[in-house]
Amino acid sequence: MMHVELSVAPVWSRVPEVRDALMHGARAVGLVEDGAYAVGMVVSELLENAIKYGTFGEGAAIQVVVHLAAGVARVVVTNPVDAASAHPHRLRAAVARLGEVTSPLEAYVSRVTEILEEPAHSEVKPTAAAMTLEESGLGIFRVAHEAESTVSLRFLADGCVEVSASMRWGTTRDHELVA
Amino acid sequence: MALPIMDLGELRIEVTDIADGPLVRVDWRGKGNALQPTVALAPIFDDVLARARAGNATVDMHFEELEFFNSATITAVLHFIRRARAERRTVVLNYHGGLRWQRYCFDALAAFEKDDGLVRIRPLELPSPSRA
Repeated sequence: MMHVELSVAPVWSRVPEVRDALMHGARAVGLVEDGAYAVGMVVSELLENAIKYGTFGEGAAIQVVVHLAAGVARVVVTNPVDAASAHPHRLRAAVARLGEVTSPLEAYVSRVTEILEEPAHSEVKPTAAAMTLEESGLGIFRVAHEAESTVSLRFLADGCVEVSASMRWGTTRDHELVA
Repeated sequence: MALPIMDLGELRIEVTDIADGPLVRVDWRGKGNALQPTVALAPIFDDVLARARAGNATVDMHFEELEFFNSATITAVLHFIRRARAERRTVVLNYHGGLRWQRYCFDALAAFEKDDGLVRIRPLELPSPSRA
């Protein structure tokens, strides 16, 4: 069993540090390599989204909770968000899309298709100004597909958004929590 | 040609021209954590496409030694595929078939292997990497 609660500054360099630390922790309590990797990937993607799209006043931070217990791994990332921005709408749409498809793979492939079929800009080089957020919308679908997780979303009264991903381990050898 | 190697934080990309093929081989190693990889990788992707164009070569990307990449970096690769396709350039994506995360990531792209053969997804049978 592992339960970790972290308050993470919204700084990009913290993402790999937190991901790697939690991956090591998951391995240390006996999660098999693929499970530990999935937990790390989920933490990384959700933390990246929080930093990119969160709205942080002075001293504000992102809350990260990772809970591993027999058969279940849960990652919860909470951050302040501007309700008037486009981000809450995009998040709702992505999670709703996951509920409409027959599998997370379908949603992932669908988003990849959209990216591949967007008009090609072979003569136009991307610029930092044009690509400020590098918004691909792939992260949530990757979390659901690659980690085989159930993604849920809550908007809290304090202006924060909470994204959680729950994964079940133990049904196959790959997904067995051995601790 | 310029930019045979690019270091981007924990990510290293190495480009090699191989006459037999001909191929422009692109090796990805380490971890792709960048905030804006589409912008950061643009110079090396430009270089790869220029080499492929000049040598009428296939782009042979190798991800088997990659330890992690974020979805923004996956998106940057998709943008590259889109550009290569627009130029009718073949891109082969080689990955480590023994790594679950790479299987999940790249198998999902198999849907884009069309009859035109411009995108090929190739799992490599390799020993599992040791982890310190």
